[in-house]
Amino acid sequence: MRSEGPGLGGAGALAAGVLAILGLPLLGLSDYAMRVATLTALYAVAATGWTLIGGFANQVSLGQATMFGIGGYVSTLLFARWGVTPWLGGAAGAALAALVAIALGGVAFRLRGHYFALITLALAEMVRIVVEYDQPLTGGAQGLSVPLVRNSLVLLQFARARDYYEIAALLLLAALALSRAIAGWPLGYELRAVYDDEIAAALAGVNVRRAKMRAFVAGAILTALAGTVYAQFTGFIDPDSVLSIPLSIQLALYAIVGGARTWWGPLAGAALLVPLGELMTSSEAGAGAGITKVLYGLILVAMVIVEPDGLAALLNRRRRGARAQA
Amino acid sequence: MKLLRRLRCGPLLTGALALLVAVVFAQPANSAGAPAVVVGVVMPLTGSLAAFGKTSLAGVELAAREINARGGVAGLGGAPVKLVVRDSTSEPAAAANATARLIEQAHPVAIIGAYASALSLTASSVCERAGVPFVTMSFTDDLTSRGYHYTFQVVPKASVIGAAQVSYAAAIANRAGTPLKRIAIIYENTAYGTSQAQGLRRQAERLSLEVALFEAYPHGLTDAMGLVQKVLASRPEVLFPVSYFTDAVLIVRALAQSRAKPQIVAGAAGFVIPAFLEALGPLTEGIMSVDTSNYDHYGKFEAAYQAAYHSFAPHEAYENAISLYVIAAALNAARRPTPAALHAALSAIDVHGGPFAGLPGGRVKFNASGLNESAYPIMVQWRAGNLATVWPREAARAALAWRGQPLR
Amino acid sequence: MALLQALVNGVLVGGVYALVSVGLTLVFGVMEIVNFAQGEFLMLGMYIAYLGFVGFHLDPLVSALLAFGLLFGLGMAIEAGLVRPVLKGSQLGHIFLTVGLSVALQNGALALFGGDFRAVQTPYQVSALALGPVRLSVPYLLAFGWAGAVSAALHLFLTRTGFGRAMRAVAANSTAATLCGVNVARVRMVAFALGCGLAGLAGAVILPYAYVFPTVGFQYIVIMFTVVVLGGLGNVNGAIAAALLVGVVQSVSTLFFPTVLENLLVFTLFVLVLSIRPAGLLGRAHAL
Repeated sequence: MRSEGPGLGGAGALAAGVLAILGLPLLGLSDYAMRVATLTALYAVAATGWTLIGGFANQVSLGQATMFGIGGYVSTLLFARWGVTPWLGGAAGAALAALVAIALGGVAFRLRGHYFALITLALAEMVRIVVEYDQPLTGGAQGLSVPLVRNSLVLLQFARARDYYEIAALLLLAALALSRAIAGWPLGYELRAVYDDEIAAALAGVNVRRAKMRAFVAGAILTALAGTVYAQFTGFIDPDSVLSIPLSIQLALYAIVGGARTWWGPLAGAALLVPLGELMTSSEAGAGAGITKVLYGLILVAMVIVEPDGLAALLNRRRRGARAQA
Repeated sequence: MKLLRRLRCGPLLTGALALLVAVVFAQPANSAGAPAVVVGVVMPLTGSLAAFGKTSLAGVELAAREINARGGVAGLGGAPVKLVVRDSTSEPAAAANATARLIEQAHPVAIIGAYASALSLTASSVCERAGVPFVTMSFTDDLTSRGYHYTFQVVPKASVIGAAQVSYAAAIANRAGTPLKRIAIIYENTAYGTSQAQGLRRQAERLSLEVALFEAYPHGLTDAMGLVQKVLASRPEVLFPVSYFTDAVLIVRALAQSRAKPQIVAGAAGFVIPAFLEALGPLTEGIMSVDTSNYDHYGKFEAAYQAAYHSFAPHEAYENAISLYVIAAALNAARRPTPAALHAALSAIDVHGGPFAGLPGGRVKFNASGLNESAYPIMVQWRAGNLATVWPREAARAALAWRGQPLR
Repeated sequence: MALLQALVNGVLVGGVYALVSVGLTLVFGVMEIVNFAQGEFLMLGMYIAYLGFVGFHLDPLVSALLAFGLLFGLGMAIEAGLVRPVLKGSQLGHIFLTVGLSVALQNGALALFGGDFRAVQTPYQVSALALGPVRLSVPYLLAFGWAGAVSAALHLFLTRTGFGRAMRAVAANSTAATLCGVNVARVRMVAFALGCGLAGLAGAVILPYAYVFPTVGFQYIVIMFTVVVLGGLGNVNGAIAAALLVGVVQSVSTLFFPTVLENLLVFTLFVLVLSIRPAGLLGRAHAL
């Protein structure tokens, strides 16, 4: 777990991965499967946003949903009220998320460990309460419906899930590229130094606060962009679905399960848990309600006991094991 | 399914498939041999709304059994109705996924769902894109004001229900000879609560009532003492709470501990379900609520529900059953089991009597936006452990009591 | 007058918050894990009291002891089987584990009891004592009594018994405690079990004025975290003081502000306290 280079092998594997992500619709999957794939990609982007600060620097934020919600709300409000295309709305959402991240970070980065986690949770709840309260502006708890215009690339609305998927996949590739790049930049080293020991990092000349803030802002932008596409995709958002504590925890969980210290961990986690969650809800009817979700919970519990550091650590251990045998 | 296969969930998937196949083939074969017509049901079977999803599903299932026992859909050669059920969970995005999955895998002619407004909003948007009729008993105004063509709302919308809550109460107070002057409105801060409360307030202003308190509260209260203190401080003659079950229970209990006891005229939801009686017993006496239908009008449906589930049929059970009856009637007229033919038939449908008699107005006829125009709200009241329709007078099944005084 | 009533209500509600939260802070103090499943232990306690009421006509205030015992046992099993293996890992692993546990318990309850709302009717649940112009809600008063008894018992346990002192030693410094011959593993197991048991007890005690359904725990978890943070993570006395404060702030604030904003005020307090005094109101984190 020291160095986080390419991680999944050489350039060939990387190119294959890019092609696999972009080419998924060519498999002729059903619309439903493409919906799940789209959600997977969007959650992976949002979780990547979380992992820049939560995973790379171990500053566990439990308020990432705020950024997701800002992305969704800003673009939807601009679109529904003034007809602004969500392409611009998304950029505006990302900009606002960056500003909010600077403000929230200013408060939260004074704290460490559990205190940091809990203050981000409280700040996120404050944002949710304000959005619910200011009904004239935000639609309040009633939520907002995205006006239906059917197929329009300009207005980022499509009839088929696979078109949304292509947008989500491009965003995902950009997020992964950024995350991977950051891991190799000086910022990445600084964040790892913070991860290992904040005080030692400061003593070694790392501007801890600045490093955290940069990662937090970059992550906020990624998560907000995912929120914009999510709102267009589902056609409806409300505070419970895009600004809630459960969403914050869920985003952190995807990254943690995949491996929070790697650039590809959030994708791995989302690709595992989103379809698994779907599988665990969809086939039940009536009497069996709940049982499959118990299983989902137990799978999480079993996974953490087998490998508390997620899939990435599991793979690394495998690889090291193989190398030792060779 | 291909996606799932790629993930190599082999054993689990095989098990799930086996279950699915078993369920499919367990359906009794129709003697006439007409292929079954598939209707999708998307309801919250897990999460915080699970209780309502369960009763909603129970209603649809009863209706399906009854339709099939009478020989299926005559216009389709006696084709039986086959329900395919999916869990929407209690989250909007998951409701949309469940709907998309259902449409793809089972090719339903229509979908019934999804109890809660937030779930119905996303589920209906998937149906709209897929061109599959979506029939719902969710209240929110948004459902039929978005310009959708495939959404059909069998009950009045939230703002109308809210307005009726106030105007019926005012009419009853007039009849009792004590015209209404001062009221308090409290509502949960959700889609349902806010949209209904807005209707309430507008109507109160139209009737020039003094709204002494208009207060939202966060739903899922852990205690209601502060809220109730605020209500009492505003000294209302009538309190209009728009609340789900959990908050309703806390509010009623907190009010019971105070000296002043304003008449409660609630906004359906938590106040009109069997659990409300179980939780509060004698405290329910005299509490009124606006509602979209009530079991003392359901006739045979109520008897069947009582026999099967040993409690009265809550309104969501009946109204979801009505949704299926409307679909069956439209299929009968359409004579082709396709979503497009059904959509045309639903848009033109005008049915009354029979199972529809239990609905206020007794009739289902959708306007251009998909709203059942003939449906109207009613007022119900808890009397000795029963929920009775008491207003408007032509629909009343029991004498009402206003602020503790019986009214002839 | 209204203010006096609001203050009294706030103190009573605060007592309940203290009862609900004290288990969480205990677990945090000794084990340094933030337990997202704590609300579900509360929910299980409520179901135990409900079943005791329906099946055996046991008053929830009595079956609280049963709930405590059963959840204490469950807590021991969970600690030994699930928590211990991940305790050494990072905070991330703890989130992962307790969230998984929470999902499993919520849906286990759904599968077992169904999604219906359950509540009990007791003779005292809607009575109130008139004390001059102020009215005291009896169910809250009884819950408050339980909260006082539990706090006193916990205080005695932590200060007067050898095991309690060992627990405080582990909370203060587990390495030093090990060196002094304390069986840290056993202390942690008991602390976790105690945390679960107290949550179960609290669930049973509040059932007479509340209700239960599988996801009810979520409604309490935010209050729990707020109280625990304000009190200083792991500080039992601090949590009790913070609980009373939160109760009073909520209750009094509804007199002057919209009710929907009552938690905004509480969270503002939360953020202010964390920013100025991260160790909590009483200023001693990990003091148990």
